[in-house]
Amino acid sequence: MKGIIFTEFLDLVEDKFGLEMVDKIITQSKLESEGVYTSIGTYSFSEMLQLLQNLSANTDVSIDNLLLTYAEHFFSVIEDSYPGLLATYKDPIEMLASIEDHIHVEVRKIYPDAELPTFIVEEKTATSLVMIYKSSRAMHHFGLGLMNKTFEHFNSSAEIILEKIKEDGTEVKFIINKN
Amino acid sequence: MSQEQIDILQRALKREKAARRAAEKILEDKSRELYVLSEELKVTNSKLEASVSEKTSQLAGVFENIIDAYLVMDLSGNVLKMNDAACELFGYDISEETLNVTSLIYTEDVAYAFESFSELIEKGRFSNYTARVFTKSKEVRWVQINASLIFDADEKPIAAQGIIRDITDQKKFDDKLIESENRLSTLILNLDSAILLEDENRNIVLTNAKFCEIFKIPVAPELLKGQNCSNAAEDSKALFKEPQFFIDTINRILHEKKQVIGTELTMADGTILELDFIPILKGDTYKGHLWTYRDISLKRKYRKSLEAQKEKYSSIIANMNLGLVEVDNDDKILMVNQSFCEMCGYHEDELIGQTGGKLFPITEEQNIITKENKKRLDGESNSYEINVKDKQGTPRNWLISGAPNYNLEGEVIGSIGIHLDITELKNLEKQKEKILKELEKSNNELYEYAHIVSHDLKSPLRSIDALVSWIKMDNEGKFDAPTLQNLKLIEDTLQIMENLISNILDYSSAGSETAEIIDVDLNTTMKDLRRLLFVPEHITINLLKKLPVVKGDPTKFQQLFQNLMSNAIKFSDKDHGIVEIDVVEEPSYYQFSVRDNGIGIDKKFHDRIFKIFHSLNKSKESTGIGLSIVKKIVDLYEGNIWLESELGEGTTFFFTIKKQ
Repeated sequence: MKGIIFTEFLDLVEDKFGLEMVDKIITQSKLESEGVYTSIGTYSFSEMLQLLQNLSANTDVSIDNLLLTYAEHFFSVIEDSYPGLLATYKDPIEMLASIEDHIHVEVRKIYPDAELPTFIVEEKTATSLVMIYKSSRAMHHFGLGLMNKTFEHFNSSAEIILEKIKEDGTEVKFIINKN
Repeated sequence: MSQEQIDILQRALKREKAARRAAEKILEDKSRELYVLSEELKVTNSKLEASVSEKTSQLAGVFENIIDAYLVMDLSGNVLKMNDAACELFGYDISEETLNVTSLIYTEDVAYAFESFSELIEKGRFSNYTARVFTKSKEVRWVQINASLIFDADEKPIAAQGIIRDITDQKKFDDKLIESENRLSTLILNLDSAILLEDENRNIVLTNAKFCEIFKIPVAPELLKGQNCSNAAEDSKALFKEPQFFIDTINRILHEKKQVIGTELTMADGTILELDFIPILKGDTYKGHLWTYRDISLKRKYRKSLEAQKEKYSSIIANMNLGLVEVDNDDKILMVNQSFCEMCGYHEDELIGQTGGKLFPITEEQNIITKENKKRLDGESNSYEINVKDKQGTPRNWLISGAPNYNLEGEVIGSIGIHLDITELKNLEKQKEKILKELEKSNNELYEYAHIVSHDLKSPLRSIDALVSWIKMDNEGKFDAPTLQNLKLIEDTLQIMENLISNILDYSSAGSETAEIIDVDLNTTMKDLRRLLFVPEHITINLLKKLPVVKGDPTKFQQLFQNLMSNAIKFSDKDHGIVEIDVVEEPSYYQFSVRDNGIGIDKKFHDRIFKIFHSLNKSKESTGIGLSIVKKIVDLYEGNIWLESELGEGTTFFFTIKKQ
């Protein structure tokens, strides 16, 4: 997992819960990296999982909600760091539909060894989109947060229904209807 | 700040430092990696550059030296580049003049050209475009073009390149080949022999109408193409007189795969086929075979009938009674028949190869022979007589009828003579001539004898007559009536005797043509006769038509009419007697008639009355010679005489006189 996910996550934890919480979850987790993260490094996903579980335990906020909040924060990172990428799109549906074919291609240019989820478009109209999310990480709520922020970015909103195809959340259907 | 807080910050600071170092290390590593990579890239780039320039020069060389014409144009058709072959083909030099490909397109191929250009733009290439082009000198050439688009770095088409092959000669050759193939297949289709060409798997490659006809296949020969023939023999065996023999023959031929010529097969309907089998090899590989069936029934029948005819004529020639000799142009004997051998006494072996003229020398007629032979060379048939001597030296007379003999080219190669031995006929002819002469002599003697006899007989009669009249004068008044009556009877008898002698004299001279032949006006003859004949009061003589002028002896015509008319007068028993003379003119003769209404002649005597000394009525004036004389004169003038008569009603005599 890319280092930027860790650095931005810990920044958000520090911002929301204070440096104590950051120190606490690092200390509580058994981390190979010992909590030393740089955005250009690559780290094991199990470290993120431990950090998330410990944060959830300490804050009584579910992992899904933590991921949702983190995704909304992460979208602003994208907005700041890659404005050009977002500028190529005029419509949120178009942008979401091209995650696999365009955005992930651009991601790999910067992080060639990135482990990315797949988003398969099942149905697409001008105002609706059905996509299947597949990832062993089961970070569907991270995706959901990014989607919410995408609509927000284009000054619109949508109703997004999330249906788990597999109970462990490694395969999930997103049904998106633009308002 | 609590110790705990300080610890947290220290730990956080420691992590930040460690993170920075890790980041720096990652960056250093990346930087090193990048350096190595860029060095490698430099090497690879220079290698690539070298390779590209090499390929470029290779390509340039290929395009310059390519045998086919090579042309590059922009997408508006303006020619940018041409190799030498293209310059030579089209006759343009683009270093001196501009050229747009549209000016090369042959008028009739414009549509096709634009269609192909659209294909090029759409698909990026076209291949095997085959059409005509105009060269600069307006010559028309057939070309085949393969073209493709040239793209820039952004994959945008910027130009097109093409390789143009001049196929004018090939096209001509192909056209000729197609034409020749068409001719050949038409020929095969309509051939009078059945043709079946099979490939190595026994699939039909070609067959023709005659094949379908012979094997009674009710489809067009084109439809059989590709059909497999493995079971064909089995299917067709019923058509043959001996089906198993047919199958065995076909299987044996197919097994041996050797050329077979002229195997005979008889079909159930009596047709005789001649079968040829020709294997087709390409190198040593078996590529198929050709079956040929010919219907030779007619030929066979024709040959048989020809043989029968020959047999017939040979038999006629051998058995006919005429001698037959065939000679060549040098008079050398080539063929004789049995009759000729018998005629001349030589054996066939003694005649063949000999010169006809030497074997049968005929010196006195040599001129005739030479002349006749020449005529024969000119193609004339002829007949002539020659005198020859046979083997025994006996002189023979032969009548020869000859005709020229031709070879198949119509040239005279000799002649065929038919010989008839006329020696016996000749002898008979000579005998006849001799007899005729003797007859003429004896006739003359007879005539003279009759003449003398009648004269000599008449003078003693006249003496008796004179003596009787003297006796009567000397004893006038002394004889009694019965004596005078007897003397009268003697005189009458003498008169009859004299008449008889005169008539015999007339008869003997009637058949001889002594007087010269002159024009005789029969009207004059008739006038004289009216004076000469005694016609009683009760008999009328009618001349119904004017009589013609004929040629002959006037005395004989007078005798002819006199006899017939006096008979008519003599045998009239009616109160009013009629004698009618009439004539009818026919193309070659006159037909006269003399009709009376007298006593008539019984049918049973009609044949007899023209014979000498035959009189139906014994009377003083009737000697029975008159009608014999009439018959003799009519014969002299090549006429006929006949009569129609009814007893008591009358008689009509008809006779004809040939026009001279």
